[in-house]
Amino acid sequence: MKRRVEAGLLLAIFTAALALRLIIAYQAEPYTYEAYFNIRQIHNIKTELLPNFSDPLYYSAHTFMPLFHYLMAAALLALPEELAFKVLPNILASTTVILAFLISKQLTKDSRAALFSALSAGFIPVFITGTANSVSEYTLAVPLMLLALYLFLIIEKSAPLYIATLLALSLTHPISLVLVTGLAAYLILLYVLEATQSRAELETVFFSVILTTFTVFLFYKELLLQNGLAGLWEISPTQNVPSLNILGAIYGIGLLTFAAGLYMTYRTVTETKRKELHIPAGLALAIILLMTARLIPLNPGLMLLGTVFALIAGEAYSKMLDYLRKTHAARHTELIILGILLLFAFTSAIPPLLQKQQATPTPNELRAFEWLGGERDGTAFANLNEGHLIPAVANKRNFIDDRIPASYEPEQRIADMKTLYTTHSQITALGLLDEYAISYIVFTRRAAEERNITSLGYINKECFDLIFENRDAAIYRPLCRVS
Amino acid sequence: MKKLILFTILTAAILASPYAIRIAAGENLLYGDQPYYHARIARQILEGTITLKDALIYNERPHFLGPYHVLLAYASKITGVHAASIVLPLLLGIASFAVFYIIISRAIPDAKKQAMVAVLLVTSPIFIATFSQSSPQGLPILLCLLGYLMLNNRKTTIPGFILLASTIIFGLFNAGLALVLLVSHYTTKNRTKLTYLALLGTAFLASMAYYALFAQRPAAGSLPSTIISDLGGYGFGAFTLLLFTTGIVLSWKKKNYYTLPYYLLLYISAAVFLDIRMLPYLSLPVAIFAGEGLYSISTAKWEMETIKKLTILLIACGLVFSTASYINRLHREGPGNEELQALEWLRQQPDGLVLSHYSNGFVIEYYSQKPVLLNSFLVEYLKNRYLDSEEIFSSRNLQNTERLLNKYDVRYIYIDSAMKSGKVWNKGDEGLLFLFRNKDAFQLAYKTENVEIWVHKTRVPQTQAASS
Repeated sequence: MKRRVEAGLLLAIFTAALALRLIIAYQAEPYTYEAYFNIRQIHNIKTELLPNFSDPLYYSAHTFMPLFHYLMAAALLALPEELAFKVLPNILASTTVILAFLISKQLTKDSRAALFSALSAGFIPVFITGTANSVSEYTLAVPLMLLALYLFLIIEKSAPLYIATLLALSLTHPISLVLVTGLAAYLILLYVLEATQSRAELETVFFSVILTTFTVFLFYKELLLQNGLAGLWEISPTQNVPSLNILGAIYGIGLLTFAAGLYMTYRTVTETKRKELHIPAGLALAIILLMTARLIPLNPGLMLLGTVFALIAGEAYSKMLDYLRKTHAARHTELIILGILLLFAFTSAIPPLLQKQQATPTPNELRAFEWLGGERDGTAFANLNEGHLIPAVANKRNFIDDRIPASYEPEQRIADMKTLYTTHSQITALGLLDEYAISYIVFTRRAAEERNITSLGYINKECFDLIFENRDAAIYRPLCRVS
Repeated sequence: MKKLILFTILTAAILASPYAIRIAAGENLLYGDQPYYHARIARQILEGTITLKDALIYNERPHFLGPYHVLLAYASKITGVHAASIVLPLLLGIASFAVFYIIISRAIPDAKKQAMVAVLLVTSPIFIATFSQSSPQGLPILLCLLGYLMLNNRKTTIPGFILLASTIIFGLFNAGLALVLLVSHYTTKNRTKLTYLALLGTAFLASMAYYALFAQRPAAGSLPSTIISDLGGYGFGAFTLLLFTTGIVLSWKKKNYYTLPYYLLLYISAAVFLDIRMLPYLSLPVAIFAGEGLYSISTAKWEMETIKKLTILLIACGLVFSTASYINRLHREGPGNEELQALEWLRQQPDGLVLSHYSNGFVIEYYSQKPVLLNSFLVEYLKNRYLDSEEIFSSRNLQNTERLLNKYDVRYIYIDSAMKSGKVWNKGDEGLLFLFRNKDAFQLAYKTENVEIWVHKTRVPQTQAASS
């Protein structure tokens, strides 16, 4: 294929992927609920120059790798907030198209397969819906992982750049451990299949294990101490973490990408002598194992798995077309390609547009929290997913959020939160409000619909002052105390 | 000789560093919990008041006595029990390292590899934990090493054998270890000293029978959380374990050369799996294999020099980080001066049982001379008592808590800052802390910034003015 045509098609895929992301990002005006945690940290870095792992406005401490936040804070200096938070992360995420193309080209030496891989990588439904509007570290972490993988493939020429990329990835997110586990799985695969191991690759993988172990222990020591490996992903008891299932995986990754990637992983492990393809195969097997062991949560796991499947899916498409060309169906090749593209569009490109987006607060809800920011200091009670809005928007201490580590034993808090929504006993409610020193109750329409209630059963004028109300939210201040 | 002196000085410096930091901070020197138990036993031996049962624990319990306590008592005659509790383990550590270094310098021809093994041993948290705190584990390690060294010298074979055999008195594991060393020695030397083996075999079987039938040992901690010091344990740093794994893989081709370390590794690993207290012994084969790993990495020809240099730099940083991080943890361990003052005050109060976290048990016994509900020696039959204490700490039901407190006739409740910072509670209104609001059931009798002593029951001792 001519380079110009190749470049043109690649640019078209990149543009289409970016366009889809921006459409989804701008479909909802504010950001997702969980984005506000990162937004607060980014603003904090912009003003204080340091991340705040023990934010006093949060019930629990939070550990995270800060490189993405520093990048966004730097972007805020040059760009308006909307561009920095909505456009820049989506541009970063869309670079997976280019990186997938480069990796696939290096693995297969086939431009057509590489373009198919680029297309698959740009349209992974779970990656798009999970990161388009959530100011997420994954928009940097996944491209960095792919860049590190590409540089690993050409390690003899790119060692310094590989080291820098791996360091950047380690400082962005713990998925650096997933990459390293995948590379180790690749070496084990070579050993089992009695294939020749390159000395340079062995040395690089060993170094990668040392580097990621060092950075993880440096940042996450306390979290590992208290919560084990699951603590790296802040898998909190407050989250409802579904387990891995095939239908979920197909829906999240896209039917064609899933099928092609799974098929190529199987073929690579069992039949092919091409050593290069064992790298994505090893990575895919490592991700599946880690997901099955619940050491990675479902959505991030599917994002990574989908990305890895995309790298080798192109080879499957290419092989399929080569096979068809040898059959009677050869004269219908263009029609078949069109059919594949349409099927791809229906299973990978359109679902993110139609899928229920990650919940975002309504403008009225945001206004309520913004109004609360003008009130006296205190602790505010709100729904679990609204927990990040309280420190980020209302500048108040929150009662609960979805990132509380297991070591804080939030089970009691979750139970008390449910009680505060459902009890009709004022004594019970006031007792809990007193115990947690809650000064404000933010009652949103969404929280009510979630629990099939219309109001809080214990609210009355004598003991609760309605200090703010709009269509989507009401804020109360408790006036009574239980002695 | 020069290298031996140099490394011995390094060993002394590392083992003494937690004390140096505590001196600089003006804190009480003797840290940790179990050293206080050993100090109390030594004092009682010195005073001739030692009994078979420990009266300072609820319902009494047999003492866990050993030869170390006798040695500590004799050392206390010269320096006093506190100083002996610090100096004796240091001396045992220095001596153990020196003997180990002599052994490896004879077994490993390469000086660089010797140095790596020595440094990896001395910087391993388990070595520091064993020899910087008063612990019965140090003495049998020294005797085993010395016995093995003497066994390999023609002039001292018989004394060496006697010394190895004498380690049987430390327990079943030591009997087995002596057997492994002897079997390895005589197999290597191609001699069959059936008499020696028969004697030792008989002793091993006898001790196995004794310990299986009669001896009660404290329950052990869990293996995974203990073995990696970077995760809060006191075993090995993550990088040492990485080097160890590398060393095992690379030395497998030369396993005939590493027969004894492999024997030791297999035997001690199995023992550690059953009883975590055997972990200090694992430091020896781990240091040997980790040293092999580090040596192979540093001397092998790499295809990419940049990656080689960075790898070695990261490993060095990781090792230093693990050791420094562990020593930093040690020097922050209690009890501090404030806790000691509180316990001195408690000693002057009327008799009564004290409830606290089990890790404070021995310190409370030593300074307040009052019995405790639980201490760090948690044997299996104390499980219900442990669960009851957890219930007391976590329950917000006053009736339930009072019932349990009355069950054991708890008079005092000792709370330090560590208990409020995650050891027992995360927040100030959890469980028993919430129930303290009830002034009819509890009275705050003593309070400083980091310590509270509450009284349960109507009778109230003299109160101390609150000071921060």
